[in-house]
Amino acid sequence: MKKWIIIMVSSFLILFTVLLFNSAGFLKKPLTGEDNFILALSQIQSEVEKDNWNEANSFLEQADYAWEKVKNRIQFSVERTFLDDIDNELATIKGAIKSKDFSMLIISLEKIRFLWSIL
Amino acid sequence: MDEITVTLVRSAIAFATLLLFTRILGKQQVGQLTAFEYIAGITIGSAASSLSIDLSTKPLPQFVGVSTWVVLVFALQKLAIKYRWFAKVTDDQPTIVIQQGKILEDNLSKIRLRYDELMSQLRDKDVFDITQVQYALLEPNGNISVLKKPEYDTPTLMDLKLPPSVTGLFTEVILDGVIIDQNLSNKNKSMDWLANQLQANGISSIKEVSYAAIMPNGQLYIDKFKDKIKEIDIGDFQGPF
Repeated sequence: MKKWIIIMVSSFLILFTVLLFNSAGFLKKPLTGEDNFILALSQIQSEVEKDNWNEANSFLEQADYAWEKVKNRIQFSVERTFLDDIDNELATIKGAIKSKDFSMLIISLEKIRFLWSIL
Repeated sequence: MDEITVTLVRSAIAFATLLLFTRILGKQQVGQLTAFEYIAGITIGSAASSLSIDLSTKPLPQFVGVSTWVVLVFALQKLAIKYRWFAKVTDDQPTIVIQQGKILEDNLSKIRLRYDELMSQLRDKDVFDITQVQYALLEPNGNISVLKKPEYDTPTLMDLKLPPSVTGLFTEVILDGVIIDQNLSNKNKSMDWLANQLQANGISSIKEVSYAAIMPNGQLYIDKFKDKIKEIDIGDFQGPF
């Protein structure tokens, strides 16, 4: 009986570890209405293309909020450097919106999309 | 703060994983490990350490790395038990380094063991005179086994034709003031017997006993929490510690 419990606990431990360390693919998807990071990025881009920089800024705030939510969920299974890189790119986007620098904003958005795809 | 949380979780997982994997790999002591198993152990520990604190890489590949090493070492151990030739290939064989008191220089050279290392290992085995050695072998785990010439060997009771005293294992019956019922019943002793034994030794409560065990001769060894002895200071340093 005891041996059976030990085997079950050990198997659960290994299974839990593998699932936790492999959970980023699932956990980065939007689970509530407020954590759709990629959608917020697309909205920033579409507003900037329409020259609505103020609207873009409010979508950036949404993106920041969504990113914090997602980051907390996926932090156990991804490289820390990738999370820091996305933080940096979001700061660049903030600067690009302030200075109304379209090309810099597009470059940063594409960098984030690439980093997002490999998380 | 985020890094600390992640490090905490990953460290806890690495700790549990390492504990589980070392239990799977068995209870060999470090001295019994072959050179390869020793190095494999270091690698597994190093990978587990990475899993714990290296946040710059994904944890899953690190976990897979640790698991792969454990599975391979485990498979190696199993194969070595099943196939003798495999054990010979992977674990090496003992090498004779001294025969009839003569050092075998060619073998020493093959295994790259220096004379001073050989002498040191012999002294470690209480052999200070090389002429007393009939055979000395370097084992795959790096230790030296020595067979002394019969005239220099320690005499046994059988050699001296003396009757042996009763030997066996101590069976613990009280640990930290708590009775171990299972061991008591295994030795066919009752609680009354234990109580009588304690009373005979001037002990009124089990809580006074830190350790008690039934000796091979059937008597009870008792050690109390409060030993009435004056401790001897063997330190050569005044303090403060």
